[in-house]
Order: sequence, then structure tokens, then C-alpha cells
Amino acid sequence: MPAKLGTGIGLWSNTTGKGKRLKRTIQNSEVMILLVLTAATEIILVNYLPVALCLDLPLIFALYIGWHSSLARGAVCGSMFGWIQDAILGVYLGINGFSKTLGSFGISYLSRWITMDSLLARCILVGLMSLFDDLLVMGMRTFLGQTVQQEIWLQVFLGVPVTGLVGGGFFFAYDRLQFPRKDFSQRLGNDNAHLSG
Amino acid sequence: MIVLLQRKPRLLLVLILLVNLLLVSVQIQSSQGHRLIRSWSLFLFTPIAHTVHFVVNGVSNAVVRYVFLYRAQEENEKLRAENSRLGVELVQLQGIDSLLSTRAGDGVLEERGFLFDTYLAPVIWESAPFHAHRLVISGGTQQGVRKDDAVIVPEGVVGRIWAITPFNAEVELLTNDGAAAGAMVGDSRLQGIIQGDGSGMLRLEFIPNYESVEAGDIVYTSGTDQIYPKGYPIGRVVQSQKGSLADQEIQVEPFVDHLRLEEIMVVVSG
Repeated sequence: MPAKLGTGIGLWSNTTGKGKRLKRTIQNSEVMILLVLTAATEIILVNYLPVALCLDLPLIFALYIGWHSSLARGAVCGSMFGWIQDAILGVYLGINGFSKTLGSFGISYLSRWITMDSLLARCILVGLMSLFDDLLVMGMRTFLGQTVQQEIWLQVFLGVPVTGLVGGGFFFAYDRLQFPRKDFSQRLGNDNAHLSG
Repeated sequence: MIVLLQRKPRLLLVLILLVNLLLVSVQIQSSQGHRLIRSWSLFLFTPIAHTVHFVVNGVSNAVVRYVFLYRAQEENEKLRAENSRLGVELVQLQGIDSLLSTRAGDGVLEERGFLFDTYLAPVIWESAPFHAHRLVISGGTQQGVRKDDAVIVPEGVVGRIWAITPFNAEVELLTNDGAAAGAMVGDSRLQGIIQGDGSGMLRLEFIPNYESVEAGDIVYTSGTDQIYPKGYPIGRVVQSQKGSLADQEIQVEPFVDHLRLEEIMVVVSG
């Protein structure tokens, strides 16, 4: 039974059921481009603008791909984005891979039951996923006996809204790019004019 | 396989998460200084090994006790344990005798590490003896065993506790590549370091060329490593020749046959 999430507040709308709605599947070439873009951006940020690393760009891309992919593909792509992030940031390989696999798989699962209508909904969703990702990474580090510095909370509180805003905007823009709104009113008007004339 | 994983996304998710966890566990070192994957594998594997050992021992003991020799097996085990303890005590007493002949005084024996207690533990599993031969024993922190405790048998030194769980521990053999202990040669009291190289033999290092070490000399622990009790036998010198540099090249054959260990003793307090 599909869940109906928050349709009353205008942020979410429920779908017509599993497999019945129109869902764009992201192409492999787009995934590759986003992977390269992630690697390039992360390298630049690490070397020249480390403060901007509070923006979790790999998470945004992983979530977007997960949203527009199957569960299996979402999990694989999430892991790949996580590994790239781990490798470039120089942290233990697999920590972000683990969290982003779960995040991407989770959002892919969510996308089967809900669609997002507004920019605000996208921002909130990405922000929540960013919070989940950060908590998961911290939990893993604690579980593995690694020290978690206090400053990480500052990074979380800064990173969640920034990632949410940028991620929501990215979701919105990329969807508009792929599915531009069509305005058929002019065409219909001309047709009618022709008929009436 | 790929099609199967695509059809079973949850299985794929679990696999990917496991791969990530394995990756992390290979990189991170535990508080004991070992890679996390070793601690995890020990933690996961030893209950299985313990169960298998328990079942196999239970069945074989039942057969031996009730079919062939009723109660004789139990008696034999007691005698073997007693014999092991007596063997250790004999070595202790020999060391004490040697010390008292050179020095006497209160507290000397404790100070020099001649007195120690042992915990008798059965070997429940042995790893393959090609690169790093290790043993898993039944006995962990709950039995008072700690990391780096010395492991001995009446014949000589076996190794040290390498990794530990509450009920099991892994033993690194002295003959392993990279394992070492402080050592001294027989009556001459020449001190060096005994090292394993993975071949089953030992090398005695840092004995100068001008010193005399003969084949047949007994090598004992020196206690300088703070792990092994002082004066415990390690092995016998089988070959000694002048080295190209300042030190001799000395081959030592260990007294302990590491491939046939069934019970060992952990020095739980030194």
C-alpha cells in the first residue's frame, strides 16, 4: 500500500502507485559527467576553498541519481560518489561510501512513493538526507573508535542548510532542464482561430 | 549475477555496505594496534572455532571415555596438566637456583621475574603455517589473559598473546616472521635478540663476532623485553658462524614443536 506523505500542505504529492507514474531514468553518460564534475569540484575545493566543503556536493549528485534510478543503481552510484569523496578528502575509504550508499538507496526507495512539487520540498528533502548522512558518518566514526571533534557539529549545522538549499536548487534546475515546461495555449489559440476563420 | 543483483536490490545494498565496512576495517587500527578487520574476524570466527572444538572434543571424549577407557581419559588429562605445571616449576626452580648461586636477597626473585602464575588453555584452532602461523586458544580477558602475555609450554617459549576477546585469544608464535624476544646464551649470559623468520627456525642477533657461541649452547629468555619471564628455555644453537659485519650469524632450533601444540600455558602475572 503506497504511503501518502504530506499531500495536504502542498509540498508533496502522492504518486499513482509503483511503476505507474512517469519517471525519468538518468542516463549513464550523465552519471559519468556528474562523477567527473564531483571529482573536479572536490579537488578544487579541497585545495583552494576548504570552507566550502560544508557543501556536500557528492551527496547532492548521489541523491539526484538515486531519485531518478532503480534501487540497485542508486546504491551503486551512491557508493561510487562516496568513494570519490573519501579518496579526495583523504578520510578512510568507505566511510562516506557507506553513508551515501544508504542515502542514495533510501531516496531511490522514497522516489517510488512520492513526488516533489516545489523547490521548498526538494530543499527540505536534501537537507534531511544531508543530516542523515552526517549523523551516519559520525555514528560510524564513533563505532569504529575514531575521535569525533566538537567542531563537526558546527559543520553539520552549517552544512545541512547549505546542502539542502543548493541541492534543492540543483534538483529543481536539472529537472527543468530535462523536462522544460510546455505552454500549449498559443498553439491551441491559433488552431481555434484557424477553425473559426 | 548482475541481473540477479538488479532483481534483488536489498541484497546488493547489503553487499555494497559490507564492502564499504571491509574497506574501512582494513584501514583502521584498533586500540590494540591491529587492523580492525583482524579484531573483527577474530571476534566473529572464534565462537565458531570454539563450537567446533567443543563438539569435536565432546564427541571424541565421549567415545574414548565411555567406549574405550572409562575415566582413564579424565585421569590422563589431570596428569598431563599436573605434568605441565611441574615442568614449568622445574624450570622456575632451575632459574632460581642459578640466581641464588650468584646473588641472594629478599625480593630478588620477584624482581627478576622468576616467579609467575600460568593459565592452562587448550589450542582450539591453528592457522596455516606458511606466512604467519598463529594459534587461537580458549581463554581471554575473562580468564585473566591480557595482550602481550607470554605463552609457554614446559619445553620452552611458544610466543605471546597477539589479539584477545573475552573468551579467546590469538597467539603469535616466536618463530613467525617479525616476532622477537630478548635472549641470552647459556652460562655465558651473552645477551641478544632472538628473531623468527617464518621458517620454523630462529636467529640470534647482536652477538659480536669476538664472542664464543658453540653449537649445542642453550638459549634462554633474558627478560629484557618485559614480555617473557627471565631464564625460560627457547632453543638450542645449531649453527654459529662469523658474520660479514660485526655480529655472528647464529641459527637456533626451538625446543617447542609449534605444529603439535595441544595445550599451552599463558603467563598471567609476571
